[in-house]
Amino acid sequence: MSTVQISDDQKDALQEILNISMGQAANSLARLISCKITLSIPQISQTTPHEFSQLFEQGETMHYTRQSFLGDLKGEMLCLMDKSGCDAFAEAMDYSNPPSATELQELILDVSNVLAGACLLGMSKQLTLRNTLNPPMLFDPTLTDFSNLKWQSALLMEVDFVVERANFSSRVIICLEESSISELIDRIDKLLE
Amino acid sequence: MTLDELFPYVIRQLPIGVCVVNPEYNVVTWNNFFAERLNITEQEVHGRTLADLFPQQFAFLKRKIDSAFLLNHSSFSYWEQRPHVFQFQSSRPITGEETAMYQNIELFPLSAPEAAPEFVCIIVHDVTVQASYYQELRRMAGQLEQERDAQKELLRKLKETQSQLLQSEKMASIGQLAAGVAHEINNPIGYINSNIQSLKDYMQTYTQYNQSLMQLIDSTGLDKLIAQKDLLAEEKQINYLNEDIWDLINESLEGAERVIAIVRSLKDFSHVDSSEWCYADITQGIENTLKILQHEIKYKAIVHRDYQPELPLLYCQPMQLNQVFMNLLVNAAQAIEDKGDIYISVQTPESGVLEIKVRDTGCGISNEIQQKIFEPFFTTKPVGSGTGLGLSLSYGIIKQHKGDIQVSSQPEQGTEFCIRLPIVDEPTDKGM
Amino acid sequence: MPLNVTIADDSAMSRKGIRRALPADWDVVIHEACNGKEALAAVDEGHADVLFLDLTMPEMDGFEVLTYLKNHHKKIVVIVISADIQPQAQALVYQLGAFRFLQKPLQAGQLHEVLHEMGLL
Repeated sequence: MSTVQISDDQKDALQEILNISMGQAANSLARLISCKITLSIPQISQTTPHEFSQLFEQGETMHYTRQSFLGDLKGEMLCLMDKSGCDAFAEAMDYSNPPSATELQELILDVSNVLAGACLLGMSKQLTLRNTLNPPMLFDPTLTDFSNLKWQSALLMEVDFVVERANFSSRVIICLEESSISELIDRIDKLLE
Repeated sequence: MTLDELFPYVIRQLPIGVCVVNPEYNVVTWNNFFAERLNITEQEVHGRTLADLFPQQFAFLKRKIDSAFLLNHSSFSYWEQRPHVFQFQSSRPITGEETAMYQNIELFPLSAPEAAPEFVCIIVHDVTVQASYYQELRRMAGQLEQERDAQKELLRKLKETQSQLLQSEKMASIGQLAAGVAHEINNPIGYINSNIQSLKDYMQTYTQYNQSLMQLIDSTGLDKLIAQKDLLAEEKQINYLNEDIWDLINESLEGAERVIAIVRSLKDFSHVDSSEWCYADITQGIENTLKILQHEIKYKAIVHRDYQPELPLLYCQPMQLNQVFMNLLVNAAQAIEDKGDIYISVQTPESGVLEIKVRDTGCGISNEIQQKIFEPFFTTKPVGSGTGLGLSLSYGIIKQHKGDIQVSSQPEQGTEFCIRLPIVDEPTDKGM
Repeated sequence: MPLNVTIADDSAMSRKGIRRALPADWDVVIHEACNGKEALAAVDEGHADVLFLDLTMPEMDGFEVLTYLKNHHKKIVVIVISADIQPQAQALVYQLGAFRFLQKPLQAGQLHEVLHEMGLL
């Protein structure tokens, strides 16, 4: 496995940058639903396809979306949402209670778009990168053959968002292609100079 | 044409909807996609509100526009969740099956760099073709899945049938084996029986002769001779032998008869497929069956018989009916977990009807299973241990006799099968 | 006598950023803490006349530090510098007795303004 080594300083800086973008994402969502959102400390890890497939072990208990991005950095945003909290969350967003299946899908796509958009744009802005985000799509990991992925290594940046009042939790994961990792690290080094 | 002139032209002609609105939801401009469909030109629409133009969809559009302004990034809507936000006609009004346009919508904020957005641009993609293609695919996938499930079920049944056929074949060969064994035993047991019978006759004559001899010795009055005779008899325990001989002979005869009876029953049963019609005594058939099953029943249940005296003979296929009794009695015995009772009654409750009831005090059958027990291949026993054919076969046999078989059961109380057979005369055209 | 200042943040880059943003001529001794627990230890040692406090930290987060300080009536000038900029988080921070809330990434000008306002410069 060929990997780009990330030093502790670089990791610390990336974590802080993510922290700031995730804060902006949480702020966006909080303004949309008027609830306080608790944020976790960002996790950064390099991953193999096998480790990656383990992200989906919770299977049916979660909703999944994916959203690709292009530009200076290339990759995909994944959003995992706990099914059990979605109904209460829908209520906070003025959907009927319980929401219909299509309303729920719309809600999931909306929320992941808000979170992923704010996360990625926040990060790009701090690192003076340019990125465009494609529309989010629902994702069914059971239909994906993870043993057949075409990459060896990717960078994952994960943050958990929890809306305690609605008992809703979700995880946003920025997955970066290997070729984009060195670009990202270059930018971080510039910032650290 | 300069670039500045070119771009508005391109935008006007784009095959996607472009509509720009301000934070008050007023349309700033839109392209031909909107203008042609609504018959409102770019110039005419300027300044009109979305609430006025799209009253039904306004609440949704407002929410999306607010979100794009507030969050300063794109917001989306998909045909899967909201197929027809704008009530536009399908783009293929003649050849298409769909009447309304399926749309994907993107709303993105427009702003100068580092400034708050001033406008939101609404982009409408006509995805009618993809949507109907996708829906058709999904319909077909659903159909395929159904067919696959049906095939799976069929395959399961086939497998089951195969294992049951194997089972019945096994049963049949056991039957043949039993018939063979019965045949082989039949001859020796026959002469054993007749020889013992002869032996008994000879012994009777022999003891008479012996007694006469003793009397003769006694009548001589020769005390010495008499004493010698008595001593000899005592030495050889003749008195005891005289008694025991008869026990031995009688027990042997009884045993032989029992073997003969079992062999006869086995022979009868090895001809289960014999479908000869004749007059028969039903109770006899039941008794024969009980004899065969003695081993299976005797440790589990006490059999109580209630046969109406002087039952008429029934014109029937006795071997087939025996098969029915066999099934009912085996089921009854298996339903009893530890120890219980089996009640068999044969009556003529009304003239022309013979009623046979087999009741057990076993585990009973739940209502939903009662509905199914006469279905072929239905079994509650583990695969391989029951054929699932017994009761359906019985049902068929009873129907062939123009009769009826019914079940009534209470879980944990027991089960009763009731067979009603019409007492009919031999059809005249059959001839004896 | 110089003031004691503690910068509590789990990110080294962030701590460095705050250090750099402080006025060069400000007469202070600077201490650092990597989480809430270390921040409270610094408070106990008298290292924190002024505490620059992050909210999202391991071990013990900024909210817990503020709660502790409030419950123990510690008179510390707390300036929260956080990425968690939700209105609800800001309101909670003020309720728990922080003097100011500053948004990350930190702008030096803004920090100087605050220090002036509070008479610390």
